[in-house]
Amino acid sequence: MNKTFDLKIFLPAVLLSLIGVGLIYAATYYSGSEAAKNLFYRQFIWHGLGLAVCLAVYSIPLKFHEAFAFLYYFAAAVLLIVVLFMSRGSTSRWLHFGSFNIQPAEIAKMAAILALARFMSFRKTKHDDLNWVLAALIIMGVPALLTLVQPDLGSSLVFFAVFVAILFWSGLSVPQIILVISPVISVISAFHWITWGIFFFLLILLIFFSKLRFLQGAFFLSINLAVGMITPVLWNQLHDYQKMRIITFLDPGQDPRGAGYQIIQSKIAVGAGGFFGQGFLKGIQTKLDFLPEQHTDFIFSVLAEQFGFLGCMVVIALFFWLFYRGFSVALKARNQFYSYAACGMTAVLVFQVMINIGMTIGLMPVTGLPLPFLSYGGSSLIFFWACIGFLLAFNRDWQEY
Amino acid sequence: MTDRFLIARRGKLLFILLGVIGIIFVLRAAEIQILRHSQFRAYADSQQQSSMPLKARRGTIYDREGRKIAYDVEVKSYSVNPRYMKDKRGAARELSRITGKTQNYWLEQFRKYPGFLYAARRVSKNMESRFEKSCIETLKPRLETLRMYTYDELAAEVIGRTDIDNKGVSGLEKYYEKILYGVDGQSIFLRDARGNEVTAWEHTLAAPLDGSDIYLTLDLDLQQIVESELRRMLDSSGAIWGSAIFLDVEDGGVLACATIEKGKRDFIRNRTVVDMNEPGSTAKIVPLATVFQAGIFEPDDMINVEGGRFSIGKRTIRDDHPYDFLRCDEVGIYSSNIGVAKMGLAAGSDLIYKTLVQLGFGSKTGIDFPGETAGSISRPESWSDHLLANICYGYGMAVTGIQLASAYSAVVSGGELHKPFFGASAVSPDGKKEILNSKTVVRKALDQKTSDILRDILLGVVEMGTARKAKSDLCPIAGKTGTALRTRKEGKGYDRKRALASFAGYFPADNPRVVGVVMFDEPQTSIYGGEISAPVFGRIATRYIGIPRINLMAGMDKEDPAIESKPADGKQEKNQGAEFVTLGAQGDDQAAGLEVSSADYLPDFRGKTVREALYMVRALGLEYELTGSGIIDSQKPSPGVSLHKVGVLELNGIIR
Repeated sequence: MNKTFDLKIFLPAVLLSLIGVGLIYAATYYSGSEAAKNLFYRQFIWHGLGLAVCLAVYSIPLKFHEAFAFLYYFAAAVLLIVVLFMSRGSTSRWLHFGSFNIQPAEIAKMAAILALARFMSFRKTKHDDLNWVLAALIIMGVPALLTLVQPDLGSSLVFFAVFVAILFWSGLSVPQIILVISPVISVISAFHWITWGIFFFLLILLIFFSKLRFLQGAFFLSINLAVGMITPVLWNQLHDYQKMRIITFLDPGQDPRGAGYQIIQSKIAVGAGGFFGQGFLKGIQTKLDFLPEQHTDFIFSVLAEQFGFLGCMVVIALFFWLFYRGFSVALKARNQFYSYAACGMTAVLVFQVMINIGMTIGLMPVTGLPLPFLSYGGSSLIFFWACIGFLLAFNRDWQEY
Repeated sequence: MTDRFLIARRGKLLFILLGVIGIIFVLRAAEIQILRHSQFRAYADSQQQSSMPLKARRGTIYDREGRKIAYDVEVKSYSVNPRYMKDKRGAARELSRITGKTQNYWLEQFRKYPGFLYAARRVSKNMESRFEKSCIETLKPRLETLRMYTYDELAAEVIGRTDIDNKGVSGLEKYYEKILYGVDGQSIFLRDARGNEVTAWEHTLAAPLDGSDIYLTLDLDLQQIVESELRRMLDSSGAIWGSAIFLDVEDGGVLACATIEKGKRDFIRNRTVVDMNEPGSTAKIVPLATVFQAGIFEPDDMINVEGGRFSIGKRTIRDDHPYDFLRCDEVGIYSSNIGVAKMGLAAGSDLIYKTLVQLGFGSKTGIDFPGETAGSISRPESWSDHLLANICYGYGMAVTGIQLASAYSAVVSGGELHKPFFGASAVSPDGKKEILNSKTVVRKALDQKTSDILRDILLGVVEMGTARKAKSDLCPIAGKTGTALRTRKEGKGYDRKRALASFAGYFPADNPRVVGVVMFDEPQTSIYGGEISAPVFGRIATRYIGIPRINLMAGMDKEDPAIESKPADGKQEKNQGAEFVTLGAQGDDQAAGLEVSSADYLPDFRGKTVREALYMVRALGLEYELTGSGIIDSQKPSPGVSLHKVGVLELNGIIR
């Protein structure tokens, strides 16, 4: 194989995938239905497809993707709109092709990262000018909104995470980033008028000391004010299950039979695993079905129960290895497009791992984001394998300008 | 190159941020999986496992000859789990074939109780074999016990009965509940998130600790004789009830104790221990003993018995058989009310009262039976001469049958008052023997001389006095009759047609072995103890005299009243001070070595899992209230409190 094919990126992904397949086997082993037992084989097929996508991405010249980045973006946006009209039941997340379903949100993630990276690489660097931020916000905001109405809160948060990561990567100072994301903080603090009051006071100070131009300052002030007013109205329009997830995150013990059930059961499974774990296929919490969504969202709890703290450390170490390699590629790439794209892809990886594992150990709310390479789910796997393909390619071509 | 420089700085910041996030995740995982592992493990157990008590076998009750009076038999109950049935209709058909209930009934039951359902409880052997041959899906046998009484109603009111949970609710079954019951074990099985029982996995957390067997002092031969003789007289005399109690003169052990009632076979109370009555003339031993003990009279001193009528103040005492003069011993033999009244007046209230107390009247004997009453005697300071006279021939006070029997026992055994008892010893399942009761001298009530004089008098009563009908050709008998008139149902005074006819005595007269009391309430053919109770006593003695069983204390060592351990496996260790009971636990590391101190202080339950704590609480026999689950967080009262001060133990479990 080519000398520039970096095994240090490829290997952790393969190892995580193998562990994931084993865990899906364990999670579905005691299931009564044959369909559930078949998930283990299906995951193999998904990994096969993912690997194919990975190698395809690696083989196609990067210039090609760079040139078509915006085309991808528009195509993905169209798919996101199409899927909204193909709703089955209350959610419309999937496009169905026979027995083969894909999530356009995953395609959109990739397209949005490439498009934003392309945009950033074109940008005229002028540090006191923040107008480009608005353009970047629109690039990420469109797919974020389209996934939010599916509704898929988790995926839309991913777009937001990529946006923040790219801002950071662009060299914006920390106060500037805070200013940019201040509307979000405004939303969070708007749950109570006192917290919002404190936030708004701090915002005024920040704007004053940032020495912004008058117009920009006025813009940020008014947008925060507006968001603060609208939030309580929007909150009442959220779906009950979305409200419950947020409330449950704030106080999981509040309703152990209802929404907090998943978090509590997951923590029990993780805690019961102890240091060495209960052994492969011996997780009783998994076996007796107390653990929810075992092969998808809570696959990490299956790992924690059966392989304990040691198993968790191995998987977390593999992930951090991957993070490190991903950001390293972003750091050394001489090409702005490569650098921003690598950063964005790694950011998605970091964000989903953090949110998913954080959820299973009670540090994060239940958002329904799968754990990269481990959770069952085709679209997500293919997305991450594509990321690996891109990272390998960026690493290969890092010296290109 | 400012851009590259900037990006390098960003990279450094990013890696620091990543590192911090990584450390937070690792610390959090360590907290849940290492620091709080046991807590989550316990919570996992508590939601995954359900427990089923494994019933301990209740101890067997034996008579002094080792005859089984009450024992447990194992019977099977069968349960099914409809949720796991593939063919509910087929199962319902099979069940209806075996139980006789309709198929629709069973299908309805399946709907009502989808997770667990008893197909049949405590089935007969016949039905058991039909269940065993059947192929009902998810059918599962569970062992339960059923209390059996070999001799049915014989001594039933003494032995008592158990309730549906096999707990003693009356009689000795109740009194010795703790010894007989043992400690239930626990079996653990798994339940899945929907509450279905996972039948494949079940395991014994703790084997049940069977109850100890108890050996009584009862001799069922005598019991049988007593009950049949009481029944015969009850039927022929038309009395309302009859009761009798017989003690071993040697040590106070109860040989027979019976109460029978007209037209009633169940729910009879043990009147010999629970009821108190005016005794009548059987109490005359009290003034007689007083005057001889105090040296006020000698047996051959003459007393003017006033030709059968004697006035104290406005009231008149009558004798049924009038005499002018009687010797002191004849006062007893012919049961002169006037004679004993004069003795009482001569001795004074205080001396009479002292003798009553010395012989055990007015206080509980302490017999091992629930619900004993103390009888009733008023304080001597309040006695008028008339009341003093009344007390001397057994009115104006109330005594129980067991008090009377043990007082007579004291009279004939040289004055030693013994504590009467039913339970002799307990033998635990591992063969350890514990003496429950043995000969206990409460006090020396009378001196030997007084005892001898009274024995002569009591023999005279049977030979030539009021109890001639107690006489037996085979066995010399001594004793005293009593006819205690009942008060009128309306108006004041006594009814001369209704009386408690009694006889208290012992046999053989020359070598007293058995002492006893026989009582009949309101016999119709005659009201007199000499006519009704004395002949019953005589027949009982005659029938029993050929069976010299007393003193054979079923292999017990009377010399050593302390706990004697007989190791079953040869490696028994004797602990000084607190004894520890290690609760058997096979294959479960959590319960292994779980120890319950049988010392008298409340253990510390905090930090234990609910499962462990409840197990200990049950072993200690405490009542408890539990709130929460998981790990015990607090308890009330706090550890170290004396066990008998604990009313209801409150335990709070928390899920953290």
